[in-house]
Amino acid sequence: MTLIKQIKIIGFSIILCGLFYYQILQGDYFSNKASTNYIRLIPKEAPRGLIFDRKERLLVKNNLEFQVCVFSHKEKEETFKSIAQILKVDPAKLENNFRRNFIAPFIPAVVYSTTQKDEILKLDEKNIPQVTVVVRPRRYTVFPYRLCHVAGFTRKLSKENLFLTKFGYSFQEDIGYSGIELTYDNYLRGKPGGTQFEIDSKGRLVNLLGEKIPQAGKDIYTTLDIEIQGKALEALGNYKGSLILMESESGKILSIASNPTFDVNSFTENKEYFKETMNNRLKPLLNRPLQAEYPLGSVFKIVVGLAGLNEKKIEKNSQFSCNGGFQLKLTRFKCWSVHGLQNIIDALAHSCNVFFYNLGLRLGPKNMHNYAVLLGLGKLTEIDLPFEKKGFVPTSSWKEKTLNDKWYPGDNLNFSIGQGYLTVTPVQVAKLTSFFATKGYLVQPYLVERISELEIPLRKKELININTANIELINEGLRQAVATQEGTAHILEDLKLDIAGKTGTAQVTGKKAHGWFAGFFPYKKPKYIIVVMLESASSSYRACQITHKFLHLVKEENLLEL
Amino acid sequence: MKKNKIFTIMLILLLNAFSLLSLYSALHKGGELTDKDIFTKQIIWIILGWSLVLIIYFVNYRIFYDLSIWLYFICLILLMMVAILGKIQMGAQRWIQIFGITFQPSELAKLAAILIICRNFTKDRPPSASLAKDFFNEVILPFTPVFFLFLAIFIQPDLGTSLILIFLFMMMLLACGAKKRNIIIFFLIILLAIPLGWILLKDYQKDRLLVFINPNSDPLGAGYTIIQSKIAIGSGRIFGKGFLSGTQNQLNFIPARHTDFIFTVFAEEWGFAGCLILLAVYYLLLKIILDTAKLVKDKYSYVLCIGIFSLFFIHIFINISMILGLLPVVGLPLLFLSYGGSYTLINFILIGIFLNIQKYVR
Repeated sequence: MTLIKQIKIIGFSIILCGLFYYQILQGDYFSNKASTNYIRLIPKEAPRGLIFDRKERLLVKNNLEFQVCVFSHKEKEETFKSIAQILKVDPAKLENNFRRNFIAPFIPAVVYSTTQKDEILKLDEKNIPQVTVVVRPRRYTVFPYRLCHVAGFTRKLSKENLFLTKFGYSFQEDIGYSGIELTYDNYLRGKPGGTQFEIDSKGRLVNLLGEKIPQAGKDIYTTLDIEIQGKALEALGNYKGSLILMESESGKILSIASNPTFDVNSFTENKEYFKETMNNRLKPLLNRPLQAEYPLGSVFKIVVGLAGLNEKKIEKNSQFSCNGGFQLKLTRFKCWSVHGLQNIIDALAHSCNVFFYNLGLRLGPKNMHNYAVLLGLGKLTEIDLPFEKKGFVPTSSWKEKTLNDKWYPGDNLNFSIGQGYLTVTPVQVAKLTSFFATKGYLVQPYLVERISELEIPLRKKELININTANIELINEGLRQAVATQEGTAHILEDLKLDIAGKTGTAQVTGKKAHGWFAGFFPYKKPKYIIVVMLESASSSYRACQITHKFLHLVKEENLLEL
Repeated sequence: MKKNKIFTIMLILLLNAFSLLSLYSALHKGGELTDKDIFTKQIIWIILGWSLVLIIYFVNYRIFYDLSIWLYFICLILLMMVAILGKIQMGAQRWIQIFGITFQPSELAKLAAILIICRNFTKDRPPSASLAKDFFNEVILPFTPVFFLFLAIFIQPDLGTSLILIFLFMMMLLACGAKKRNIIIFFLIILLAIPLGWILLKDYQKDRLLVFINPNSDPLGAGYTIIQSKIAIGSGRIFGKGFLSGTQNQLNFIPARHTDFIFTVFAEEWGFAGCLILLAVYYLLLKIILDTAKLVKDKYSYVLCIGIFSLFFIHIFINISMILGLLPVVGLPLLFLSYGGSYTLINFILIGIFLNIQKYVR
């Protein structure tokens, strides 16, 4: 008790002494400082971390930008006039900028910014009072079209995000808004610094009070190969769609392309271009591989086939006969050709609908739903890019609840060939394909493998407990789809890459069908996963053509490690 | 004792007045409020606070003995939620939203910590012959629940508040009759744990923590803020610049001046004389709490008084010392003066408990 009383007395004495020192002993000094408060702050932004690709090629860097800043003082107009004369701009515009960027009297406001060094040198020579030039880093993407979705872009901290200042972000700081810039913002951003100094009434620096040197952010090393990314976009050409090339064992993404693209540098700098891009009907801002949800079409047959084998609804040699269609009560569900007797391998190679109609009826919606979810559909892949969509896998109870309608046997047929209510994203399909390539593992796709010196461990690899023999049967079907003359993806065989894969044509009411190709190679010891998705391409054949074009380009340049 | 109760209420009302005066100064521009919202909110908090005092006054304080365990676990769960939410959003997170009301569980943790420590200190444990067992009974057992709260806040990361809990426990340990030997051992352990804790942190965690040691790093870092706040306080001189005449504050020189740095506003406008009055009010409040602690009959109310005293004292001392540049800047509000809903209400609850204890003192 007495001890605590002593602590109290000591504590209050310390505070009193402090106050006495500052307010009585140093009172005049501080009061003088306050009345002639010529203390000024010049913030110095920290450069953000750089972004590299897997071969340590620079993807995103910082250029220098020069900002002409003016301190708040009485003869502002004069100052604006003299700056305007040198830079040959309208003084009214400078005044406008000043008003917009004004934060506090002791922080100079930006009135003009440029990347032209010559202009600034001219201004600097004149040494106008109350004017200072600040050099700041400006984000620059070296491959603006190839990286617009993956690397993303930064913007100034806006009024809506001002709450972030509580978490250590500073005013006017660049902050990641999309792509890797957003996901890894915490690492990429540096620590801003600045100088605090006293100026005299003429605006000359008289006394440096304090300095904090800005610290650069951490560099990020991605799994991307910028050349392959370029080839992917080249192959996609004028099609809207996605192309993903991923390592099947690790989930490292070499290329994740979304077409159409835009120039991300102009997007952040040029207001006209920004508006134009925002309003573009082709939606270039959409990062299609993970933000667009499509019906999957026949690629879904690999899930249904596996479910059938694993639930023992069919066996290796079970056959169904295809006469070009399937009669369910009054409706006839079509197949795209007449295939005759088909077992599971044939049915996958030829993409026979009738086989899967029969199987879908035997499985029912619950089984198909369970296997789809088990293999990662309807769930986020947790790829390290923002705003991922998770697609949708229907259930009969969902249909009853939301559409107020029964689940008909016909729904089973549609579901079994990936039509109807099922939607997926291309990156989910890549993950799904990884399950077959690794014979049992769902591999999480990712893009960043190292942050500065910090090596990020491999992402999770989820083992799904399914009989390997069944997976191998499906894989055999996928190989036949490419290897045999009648296979739906046979045009890929001349690449000599031993590709195994599945095509998909996804019907959309009122629009042209989407085309899919999802596969892995080499068949014996899979290394890569490829997924191509084309919007409104009419048929899966186009997806195969684009896949062929892409792999041909990549192979020619020896970009793959085979 | 009735006199003492009225005196306590008068002191708190005075502090409320100081708070509103300083808030008005901090938020005005040319005599007009620029941020009415914050000002009216604080008035609402004060009114709510007094209603809480009224309710608690009519409930015997012993109910907190039983409630403390519930409050403790609820608080711990909320803190973990905050930590998890914070992780998902890849940033530090201190606020939580329940039924549209945002509040800071780390403030609630201060109350939970006091109550759980009081409960543990009240239990009589038979003295043990073994040195280790005695230390375990007297220190480790009551410290364990505090340690979990500490961890949950530390990982948020909110270094300031988490350390407060440790200080709080240390002060209560000092005053609640633990053996000198045990206290010294405990202090030594804490000293040894500091470098260990630092080593355990990863690089980027250290970076983050350093940012949070200086939460006012905008626009240009804590060092700059301190220079400015010293100028503001010093330029107040003996009698201050007068109400609404503080130039430093008006020029936006000081960030967070309505919360953690509210003392600079007060000191600039009311000078050394004003500060003396404010400190006298604080001093008297603390004195009444200690005097009451001497008079109470049972151990539980004694320990409660000590807990309330300790928390109040720590906030007054650390906040003003950091503003004067004597301690590093940690995000810590000033008792009853700073703006902030959670913190204000917690203080009122403690005052309610204290008035209730006074009721039973003859």
